[in-house]
Amino acid sequence: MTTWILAVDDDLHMLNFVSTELRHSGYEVIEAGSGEQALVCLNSKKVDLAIVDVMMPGIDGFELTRILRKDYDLPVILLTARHHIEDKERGFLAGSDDYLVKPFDSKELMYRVKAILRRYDHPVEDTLTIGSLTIDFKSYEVRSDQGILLIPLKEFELLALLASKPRQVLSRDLMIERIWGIDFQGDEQTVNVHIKRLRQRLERFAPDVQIITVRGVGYKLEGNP
Amino acid sequence: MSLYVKFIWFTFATMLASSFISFFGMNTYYHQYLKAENNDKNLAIATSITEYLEGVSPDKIEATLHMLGDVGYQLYVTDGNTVTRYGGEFRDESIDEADIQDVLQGDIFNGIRDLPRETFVTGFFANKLENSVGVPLKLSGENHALFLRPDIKLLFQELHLLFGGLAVGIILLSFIGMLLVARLLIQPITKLTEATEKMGTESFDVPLSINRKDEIGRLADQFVTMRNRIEQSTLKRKEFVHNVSHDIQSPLHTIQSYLSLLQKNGSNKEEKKQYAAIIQEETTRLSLLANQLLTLASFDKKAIDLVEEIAVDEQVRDILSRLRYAFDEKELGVSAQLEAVKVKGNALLLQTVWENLLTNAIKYSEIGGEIELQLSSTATDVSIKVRDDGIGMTAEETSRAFDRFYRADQARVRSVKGSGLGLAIVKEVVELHKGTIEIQSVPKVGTTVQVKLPTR
Repeated sequence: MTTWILAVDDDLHMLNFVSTELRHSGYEVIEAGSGEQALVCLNSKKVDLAIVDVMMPGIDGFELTRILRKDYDLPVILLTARHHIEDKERGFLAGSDDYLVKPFDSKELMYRVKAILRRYDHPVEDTLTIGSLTIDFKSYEVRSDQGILLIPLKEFELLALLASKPRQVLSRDLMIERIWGIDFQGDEQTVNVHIKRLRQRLERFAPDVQIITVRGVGYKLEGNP
Repeated sequence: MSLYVKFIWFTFATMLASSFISFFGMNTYYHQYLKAENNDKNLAIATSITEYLEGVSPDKIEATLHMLGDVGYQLYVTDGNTVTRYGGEFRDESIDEADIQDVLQGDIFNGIRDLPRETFVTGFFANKLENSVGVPLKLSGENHALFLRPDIKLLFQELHLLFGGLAVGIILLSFIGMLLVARLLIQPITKLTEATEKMGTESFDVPLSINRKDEIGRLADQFVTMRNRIEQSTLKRKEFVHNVSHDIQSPLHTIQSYLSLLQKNGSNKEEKKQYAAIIQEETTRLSLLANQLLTLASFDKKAIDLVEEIAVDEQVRDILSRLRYAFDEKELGVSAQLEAVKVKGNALLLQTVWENLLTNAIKYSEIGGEIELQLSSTATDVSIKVRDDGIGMTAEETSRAFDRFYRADQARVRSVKGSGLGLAIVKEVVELHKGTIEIQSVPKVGTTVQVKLPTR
């Protein structure tokens, strides 16, 4: 299934850059040079996410965000100029899901797009708790009484997978399939590396939650109550 | 108009004005209070003269009047038709005929008291018949009128000279004195002006020998201090510009070289991709440098207001979320203990601080590493600690970490991009907020940076 993204910016170079990057990452892109044009595009096509520049003549980014959220229920990422902190607040008030400060790295943009699409993909549960750990799917954060822990996406998914089936042994094959995908070229060693790191991080952050190796089978997560 | 001319004019004007004012004041005083007294004094003299004259034998009258004239009185004796004068002459003998008649009838003439007031004429010195006292005088049975006033010219001639000399002396000496003072004041100012003009053309070594303890001395001292400071900052600026130019030049050079490589045929797709990546990296570096220069430039604005109430924890969370992709790229774990704390300061500048500390931690971390962030507070200050388990620095590198354009990674980690301005900016911002910054680092173990800001 292809994911359609609407990119709106009156700066054509910027628009071109954003949509090229998105297409490289496998998304389909509809380009619009103004807020008005964006609304016209939406009439003929259903999109999954919109990336909107704040500074535009006519309907500006905030106004457009408000319309996209209210009438189309679309997640929106706002692009703002540097040093405009109030832009961010106005953006969230208008209902934007995230914002990016120009100039941004294309990797940063892709990260945000991926995160938001995932969030909208599985709106099942917001958080999951095991032991002293709380796993937040909305913000991709792990929390304990020690504060916040931000871990790489792959490790986060690994932890989430283990936590979704506490005390059950999960095989490495299952993990690879769920997290890296069936086409994954690497071997089980990759899983081992990630598990090892995750284990070290948890040791410090939530000592009561442990990843236990079950020889020859896989891993399971145990949290002491 | 030069200061000298101004001084002379000012002195002259002051003297003129003060003469006028005092003359006017004294004249008013004379007319208000003194002239009645003067009148009565002279009247008493005139009365005793008439008493004497009326008692003396007639042949001695003439001689007595002459004698009185000689000792300093101006006498004007009339019987209504003929006039006889003794002593000094009245400059102006006009008088109302009725006044003479009144005295002949036996009345008294209070001319000194009744003299009308004139602004620019002193009543006391007016040598007029009107300005005299008149008394009736019987000589051999006939009614006469005797008008009398003291002969000022005769009595005070030497005094005039003395006072005149005194006045001229005062005026001349005052002028000379003022000129000397003016010279004393103006000379150091002239010197200062010359030094200032020289400074405009960037020569800072004009000697300035002004040794005084007054305001001008202080001005000169301040000037010298200021000049030294400007000299230093000029040197610093030149060095800075030199460094910046070099830092702009070298990535540009790299970009140009790789662009020309790209344009050449013969390199394969893989190589081209690599060149593009290098160009990309260099432009990122340039962009970063430009941003940091802008931040530095904002320090030069006179007053940065440090009045915003900033929720540091929110600020840090915000930056964490912005840097999320960068953590991910290096597969770093970031644990953050963020107490909700507030400080007063400049939000934008502090944001730069946290951003710099975190990007540094990312830069110097190894793949899969860990960054620990701790935001806490005491009664007096807020502390933020950023710890990484990355490559670390030696003691020598640590001590130079805050120098502008110093990069610990120069030789060791070629891939790390940075301008060498980051920590210099961090330090300036922290110090601007009256805070402190400390680095502890051990090679291959990691680095901990701690910033403390007072909460006031």
